[in-house]
Amino acid sequence: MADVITAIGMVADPFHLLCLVFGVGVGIMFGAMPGLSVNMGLALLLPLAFAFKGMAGILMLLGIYCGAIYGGSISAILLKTPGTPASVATTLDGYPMAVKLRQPGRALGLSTTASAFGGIFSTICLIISAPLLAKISLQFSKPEYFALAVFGLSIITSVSSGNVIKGIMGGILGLFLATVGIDAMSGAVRFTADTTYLLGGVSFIPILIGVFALAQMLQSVEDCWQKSQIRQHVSIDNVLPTVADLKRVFTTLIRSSAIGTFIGCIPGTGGDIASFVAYDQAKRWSKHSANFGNGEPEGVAAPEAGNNAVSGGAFIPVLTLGIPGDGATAIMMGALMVQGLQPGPLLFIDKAPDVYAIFIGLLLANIIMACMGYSLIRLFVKLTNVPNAILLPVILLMTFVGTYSYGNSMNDVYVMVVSGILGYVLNKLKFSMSAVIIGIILGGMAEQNFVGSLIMSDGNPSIFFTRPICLFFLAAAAVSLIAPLMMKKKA
Amino acid sequence: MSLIREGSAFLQWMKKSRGGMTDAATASYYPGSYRMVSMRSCNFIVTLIGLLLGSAIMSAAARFPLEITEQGPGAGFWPFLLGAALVVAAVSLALYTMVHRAALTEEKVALGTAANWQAYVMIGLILLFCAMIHLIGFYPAAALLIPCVMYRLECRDKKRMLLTAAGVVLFIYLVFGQLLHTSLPSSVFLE
Repeated sequence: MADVITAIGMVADPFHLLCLVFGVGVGIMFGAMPGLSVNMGLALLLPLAFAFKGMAGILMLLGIYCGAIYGGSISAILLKTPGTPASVATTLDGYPMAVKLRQPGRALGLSTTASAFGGIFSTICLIISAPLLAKISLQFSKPEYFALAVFGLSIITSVSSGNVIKGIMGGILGLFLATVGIDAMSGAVRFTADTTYLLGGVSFIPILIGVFALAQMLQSVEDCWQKSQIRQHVSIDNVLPTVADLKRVFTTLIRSSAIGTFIGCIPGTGGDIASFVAYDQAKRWSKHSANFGNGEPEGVAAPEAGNNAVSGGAFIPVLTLGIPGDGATAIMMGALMVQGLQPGPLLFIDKAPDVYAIFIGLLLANIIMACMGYSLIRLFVKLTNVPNAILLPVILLMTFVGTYSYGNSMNDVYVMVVSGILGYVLNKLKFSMSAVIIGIILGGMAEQNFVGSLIMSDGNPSIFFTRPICLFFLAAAAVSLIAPLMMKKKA
Repeated sequence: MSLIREGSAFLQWMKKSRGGMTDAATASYYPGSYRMVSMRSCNFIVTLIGLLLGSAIMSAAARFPLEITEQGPGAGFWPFLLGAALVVAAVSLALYTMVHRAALTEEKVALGTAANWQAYVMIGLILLFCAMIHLIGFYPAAALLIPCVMYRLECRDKKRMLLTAAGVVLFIYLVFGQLLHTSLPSSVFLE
């Protein structure tokens, strides 16, 4: 209880609250503007989060994470251009409701309510389940952690890549990059090319900004070439949903939130999958299934509740096992690590107040998001009209400033630029950059536990195949890698 | 002779596309073959890079102890394993590409379209910006970069370009320079 009170005190700090509100606002802006993504928002503001030491920076990133997923629905509803991939399903009924039925306020109100409901629902699930899972995972030893890292990496590469083999190659590359620097076990200096810059290892922040922000910016430059930007001049009346609408979508909200939370827990999935599954289930169970696609309220609420519920679900493996589920949670995990919070079961013992502060922060972020959605929606709608010619140079400069301010080093900037260019090209070749990043993040954990396991067993590798939990995770990793290849062969 | 003709046509197409030619116009000017690369070719290039990189990692890792003793594996064992895994993955990709040859030949990767060239020009500007930061410092370089990028993005409103450049540079100076006390790089001549 004392930990919870300390956590409330941490979050209630006016500066921390301000950071959370700022984060939610910026997140909604990033989500609302087509071409900008959740990952880009998080990556760009990551260095700023480090400038705000401790919980303030983490709360700001939590706000961006929640806000950006919701913000994607604004352009999805008004422009039929989803701000984030997670909002694609929202266009199916959101756009017809806004344009055909001429009820943009109703569509935006429903999406705001559903997003907040999904986010709060999944955070409550996180609060209930994470400590229980952390208790179980406390029994894990080095071999289990190694197997868990392999499992996390394998499932992400198999799900998020266009091609499993390229996903594996990306993951291996990430794991290798994590070996650069001084080896934690033997003290040997590895692959530093005799430079002092690499002694401390490859800093993943510049790489992260490069692949998630600069590469995305280059892709946006390509996408907007000779395409006129749709300008939306829409008058929005009332955005608060009516009681009748709330009654109509209530069951859908609960079902979709449960789906989103469950999908969020699975590494490698994400809001896009959750929103489509939630939409599909809503259509299947609805009394008005024939009206889906024509502006059905349940069709707006289901994907939004589903994709926002991913936020809490995705934090379950991050906080309890130290396994990030996607690019966004990898960035969040990186931010926690840089602030001295090593995700994993021990976090719940060593830094319990911080964990509770994250829980409270997530809850508050969703509440603030709803308040902003209801009150500032007209402002966010205007932001969807910001021309790319202004937006993209600003983002370009922010990648430079953010990277430089992280370590006051031009070397970091060069690493960011190279990563960005490589990321842009590799994305075209269907490489998952998330796999590379997660490889870098999990690399230390994988190697240290691999070496530690072999020390435990006096160098006998059979230790990985004689412990049931370890064997289970390794077998699951093998299945997740082989299954997509087999399915493709059959197809 | 035909190779020279092809090469000259390709160069002319590059020139045109960089000059702002539309995709449709480019397609009519040069019939597609250089604008799209098949995924099959890309996969073979990736395989080659993977093989080279994997071998390089294995060779670099071999300079460290590789044996597994009672004290655990040597510092080179894990990276060596990763290098070997990369080689295996690269070979698997080659085999996969050969098995799915037809489908991957049809799958095209856009690497030379007019839209691609916009991104390549932007990469050029970014590299130039890196050099300019070193030469004239961050703030002047940023003030020059913004109008250039805006121009490439088809903005021709000079007032808007100037205002955006001034506004963004001022914002960065106030937030990062003054509030967060980040001293952004200055000119090499002033150091």
